[in-house]
Amino acid sequence: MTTDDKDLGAPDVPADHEDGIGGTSGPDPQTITVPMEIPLVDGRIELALSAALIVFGGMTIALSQTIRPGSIPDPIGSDGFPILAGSFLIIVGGVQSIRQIRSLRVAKDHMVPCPGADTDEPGYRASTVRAFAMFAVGFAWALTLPVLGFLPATSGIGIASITMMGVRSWTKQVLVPVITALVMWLVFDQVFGIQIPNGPVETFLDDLLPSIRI
Amino acid sequence: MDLAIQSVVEALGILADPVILVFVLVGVLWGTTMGALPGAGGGVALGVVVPITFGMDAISAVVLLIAINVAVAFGNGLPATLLGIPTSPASIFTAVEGYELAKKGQGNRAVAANWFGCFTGQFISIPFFVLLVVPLSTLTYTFLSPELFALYALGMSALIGLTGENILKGLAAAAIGVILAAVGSDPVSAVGRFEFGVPQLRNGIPTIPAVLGLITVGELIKGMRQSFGWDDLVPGEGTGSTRFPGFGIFRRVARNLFTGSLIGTVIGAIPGLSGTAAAVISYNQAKLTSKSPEEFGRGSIEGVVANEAAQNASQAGEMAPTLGLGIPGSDSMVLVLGALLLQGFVPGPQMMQAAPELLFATVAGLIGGATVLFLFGWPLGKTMLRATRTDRRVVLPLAFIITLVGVFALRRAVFDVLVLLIAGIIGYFMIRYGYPPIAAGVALILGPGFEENLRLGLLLEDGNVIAFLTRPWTAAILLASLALLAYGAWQTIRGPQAKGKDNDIPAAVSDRNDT
Repeated sequence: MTTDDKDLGAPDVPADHEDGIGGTSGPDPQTITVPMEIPLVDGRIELALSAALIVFGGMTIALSQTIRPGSIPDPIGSDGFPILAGSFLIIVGGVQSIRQIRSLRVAKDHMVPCPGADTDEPGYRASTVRAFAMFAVGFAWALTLPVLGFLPATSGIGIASITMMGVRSWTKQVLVPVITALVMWLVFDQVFGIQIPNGPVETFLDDLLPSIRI
Repeated sequence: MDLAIQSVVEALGILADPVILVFVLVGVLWGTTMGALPGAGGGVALGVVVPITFGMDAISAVVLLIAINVAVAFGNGLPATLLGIPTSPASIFTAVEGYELAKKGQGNRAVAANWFGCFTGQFISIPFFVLLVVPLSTLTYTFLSPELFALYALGMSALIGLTGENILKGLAAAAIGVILAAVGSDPVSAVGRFEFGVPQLRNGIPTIPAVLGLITVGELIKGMRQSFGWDDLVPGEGTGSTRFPGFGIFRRVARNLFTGSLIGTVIGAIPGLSGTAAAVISYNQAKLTSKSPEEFGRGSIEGVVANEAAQNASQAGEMAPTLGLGIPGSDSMVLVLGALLLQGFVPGPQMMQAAPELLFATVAGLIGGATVLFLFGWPLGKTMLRATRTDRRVVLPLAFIITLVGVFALRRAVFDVLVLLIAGIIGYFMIRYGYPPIAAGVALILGPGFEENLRLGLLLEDGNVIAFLTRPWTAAILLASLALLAYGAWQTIRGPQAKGKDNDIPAAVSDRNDT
């Protein structure tokens, strides 16, 4: 387990053998009967995604019933496309669910073959928790930007995300994200003239720097 | 024909501007670097830059994006050639042949072959691109709603080629894109759909943040699941001399260069087929017609050249349907199309009449990018291999942050960033579980036009579907759509087994293709 995985409480699972949010151990390669080049994924999650397609399709059809008819009547109508796409999702979700249930019955450790899946680099630990922590960092940036201003918010998420990647060098952890944030602020705010939320730091720099807009 | 010649002349005029030249240089440098990094590629290279182009004028933005796209194809071939790491499926055979050469200490010949293939493919494909795209502008006044619907149908049926290895999942991804595209005002009667009382959804889901989220953010976050350096993937052994081997090998592979370039341009111009298909066809053609077929699989210069010329030429080919018909054929083209929409252009037959400067800028980007690669490709190639020594654990988070900032800067809207992240979560799961996000992205972009023109076309014909087929252009394009659909379905169904048998990809490289 890598240091960052420990920090984040990430499941200690080998790449390609996981996508368990709760984490699962991988199957013994000797017991896998499908060709090794077809990626293996957790069949329970794939089943959940197939079920989600059915729910999404069903919701789309249900919500389509609330669409008002337009003033210009046409053979397809405002709800035609959503109903068609929703119905298709229900069919695909149903077919995929049946396939997954069948695969899961014979699967070892819930791992099923999934053609087309983009799996992890073999031999390196993978952390689903880190992936979602990165999304959380993105949401945190969106929410703190208007409050803190561009430079502190952007530098902050830079430091957080690079630290989460397991980097333990202060130049890379702190200096690189701060300089990157400063360069982006200069490019967007000073050069392109796109106003981005200013905090006290930006106001200070605004006064300091001459405007070099293009 | 006048417009074709004029476009080249105007393109050269655009390139005479020093600021534009700087954009070309920056684009080539950025594109080559991102192309050389495993897991980055065109989607990330363009995705990070697209929001930034909003602050630029349209000509500069288009030149920059096209130069990046040109350079990504060159960058893709570098780690494949010397490190045996195909950073995209289109460079698999470069990895097979180039890496075998490198292991024999002939890495310099492999990189030179890659370089020759790159600039020859680009230069040969440019005139073909112009000749393909210009006639489309004459259709402006012939194309009404039924014809435009048929064009959108052609684009939607091209999706079948992008559905990946599971056709059902690919079509489900497209259906998700269609539903997302339906949010907001109905294009015909302006009735609100799926707005949930959110004022920002009245004009629909913002296309650029959603497409960037699906394609770029999903890929970046998937990459950040793992914490390792790119240099961990690099094999330790040397690759021999780094001296330029001379232009002598150019003569030996001239036939493959030209054939590969032609194959790449033509295949790239067919919606739904891509650089990968072009590279595979070109490689197989070179193998079949070679005087030394025994070298294939053991380090063949002809193999490297055939693959690279085709995949580079396909870049210009892909632009013909993107600009001329508004049908993107790859994830890079989806993003280019998005950038054009951002600038207020609607690609399609009308665009060439309404905004010919966009065609000139595209040709300028192609010529500029190819020229920079011709002049500096060799030293750039050697230098960019060092890009794999940069710290992946720093580069990926920074690319993610630049994308966040860029999308915010589009309209200074936190809502757009939220759309980007939510689409990113959807894209992440799609990538992980074999649902191609590009299919959703294409459907999201083409969906509104497809629906609008079908419904308006039916109104035009008093609801008579059969009347659609009596219009010659509509019938011809719909027939082409059906053929493409059938071919794509057949290819997808016969897919992996056939590819494996026909092409005999060594297991070591095949395993690395995940990168």
